[in-house]
Amino acid sequence: MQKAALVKNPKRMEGENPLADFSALESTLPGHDVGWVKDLRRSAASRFTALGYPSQKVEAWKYTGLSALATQRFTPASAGERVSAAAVAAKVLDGAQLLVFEAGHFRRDLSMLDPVDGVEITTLGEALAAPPDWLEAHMTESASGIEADAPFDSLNLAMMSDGVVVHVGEGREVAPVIQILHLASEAGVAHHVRNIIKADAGSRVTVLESWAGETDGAAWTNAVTEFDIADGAEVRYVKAQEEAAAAFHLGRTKVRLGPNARFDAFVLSAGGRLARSEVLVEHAGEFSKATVNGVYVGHDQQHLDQVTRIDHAVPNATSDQVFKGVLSGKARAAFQGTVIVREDAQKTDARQANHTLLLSRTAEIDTKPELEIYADDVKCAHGATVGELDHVQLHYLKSRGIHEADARAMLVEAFVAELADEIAREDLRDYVLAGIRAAIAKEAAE
Amino acid sequence: MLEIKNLHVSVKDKPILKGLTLSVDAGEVHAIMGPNGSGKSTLAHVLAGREGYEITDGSITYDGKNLLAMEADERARDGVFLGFQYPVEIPGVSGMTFLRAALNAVLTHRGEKTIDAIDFLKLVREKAKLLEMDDAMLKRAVNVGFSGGEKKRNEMVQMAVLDPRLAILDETDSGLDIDALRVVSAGINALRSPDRAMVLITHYQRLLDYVVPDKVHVLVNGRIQESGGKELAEKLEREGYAAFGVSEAA
Repeated sequence: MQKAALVKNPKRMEGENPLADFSALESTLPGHDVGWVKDLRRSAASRFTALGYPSQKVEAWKYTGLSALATQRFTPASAGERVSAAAVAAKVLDGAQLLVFEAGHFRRDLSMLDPVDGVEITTLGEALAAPPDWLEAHMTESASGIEADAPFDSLNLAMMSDGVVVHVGEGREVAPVIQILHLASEAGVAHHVRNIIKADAGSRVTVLESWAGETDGAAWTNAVTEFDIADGAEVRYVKAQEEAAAAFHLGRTKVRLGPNARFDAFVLSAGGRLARSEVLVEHAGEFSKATVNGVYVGHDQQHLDQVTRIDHAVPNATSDQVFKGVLSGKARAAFQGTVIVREDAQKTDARQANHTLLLSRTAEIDTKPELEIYADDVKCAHGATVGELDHVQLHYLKSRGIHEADARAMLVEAFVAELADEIAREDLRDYVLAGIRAAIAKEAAE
Repeated sequence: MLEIKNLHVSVKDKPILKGLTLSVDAGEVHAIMGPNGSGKSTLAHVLAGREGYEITDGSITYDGKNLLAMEADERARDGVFLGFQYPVEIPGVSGMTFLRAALNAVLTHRGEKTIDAIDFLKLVREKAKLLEMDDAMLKRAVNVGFSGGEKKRNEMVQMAVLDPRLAILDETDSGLDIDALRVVSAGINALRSPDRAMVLITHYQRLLDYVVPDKVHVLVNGRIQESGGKELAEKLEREGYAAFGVSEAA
């Protein structure tokens, strides 16, 4: 046994300990005087310690090399008022119920919340000071479900500094978008943010999660957002990841769908040097429907990973995923999409597609659409394409006088923006399109 | 305005144009007629600056400038327009966005003020009307879902908006029914002007019943074999290209 302990585990990677400050910090973290929260944090901390950083030998991390992240020491971010009003204004969606966070901490002064009947919108910090029963039940169950290949979910649970908690009551609707805007403002720090959104039966809510910030060095975002969507409730979700160029971003969105529930998601991945966005959907109720679309735009040496796992546990559910990306320079991206259709999940309708445009010879995409089907009466389709810009189209645009760079940007935008067009709300669609255009412009300026 | 001298062009090492010489002045409409494979479309593409054509000899001068030294987009901004035989579909790019970007690139090049969205819409409506085209179609993705005739009309709307000085229309009449041919021809005639030169490339004479050319050239085997007036087109219509050593299945 002694000997075995000395053998290096090929599935983990050595690195700095992101829990180094855990003991010192514990008594200041949200919910520190609530017994079950403390227990959750501690067991999550030991889970991460046991797992460590996953190496690329772990299938889920096959395309995500973490050495640059693991070897850097990040301290827990402290609360501060460093971001400018202009930086906030640039990313705010007009008319939104706005919750602004700076470096993992709530900025009440920059936020704008209007009370809505039957809807609670608060911060994790406040919610954990006197947690409602549902939150305890949700968090306890969620913690027990964290997979062995998801160490950063556990790390987040141990270290979470703040986030948003939303509870939309039965049949209630939040008309404006709830925007969770996070701005990094300091290099060398880690932000562990956890958002929890519970939509009761028949309710409707739209959530925009925006990640931005300009820092000179690297900051690390380790975020988890959870949705519990009950019978017939509808949730629309946009994640706009536009972190600073040097940032690390590991984000996870976990969704549980009840019967007839609906989840429409769009994930834009544009910022960061290393960014990974995971979307995990559990179809726990029949006739539930999930659409998960995404666009990634990478340039320079960016590494952008999209991971999805759609789990059909019950019959008659529908899921549809399309991810499209554009890569230039030496950018790399991966799409790892899994659809699981369990034995009982008859009449499942699941689709999955990934299309990538490579604008340079040095850009690279790893695409791995995967179906695991255990039921026999299902409709499933998946596919992937990789291509370059259409030269005939490019020539046609140029033949009308449009400069080459503009013509390229037009075609690139057309390729990815088609998915943004599916976003039903015009304000959100415009927000996403602006993000896509800004990312393409960076690409063109390279 | 356009001087082509002894132009030799190869595609993948195969000579297509073999010493073509042509001169077109402002205000003139020239028709270039020829059978399939004679090099008509190659000439059109070379004039528009498409890649993949090797110029092995000769020169093309446009307004005193070496056209061959200019990129496709430069040529267009400088007033050269090619009406495509097969207009390209561009999913995801709205016709309005595309055409306004093109016009603004042209206007900027001319040192003129760019056009705002409202004035542009007015301009497009006016030109679309000329081609009996619903301007709502131009808001859709470029050429996507258009019939053959609609694509050709769209080319003419683009030409009318961009107001080129040299227009090369490659088989603009192909695939048009008689009503569409009449409309497209009326559009072309409306754009005839003393400042503009036009080159109509066509297989058949029927377009020339509507758009009467000042000169007709017969292009066979990569060279202009004969030049003349409108009567030459009529002769070709009667006798075909047999006199030029070409046998065509009717």
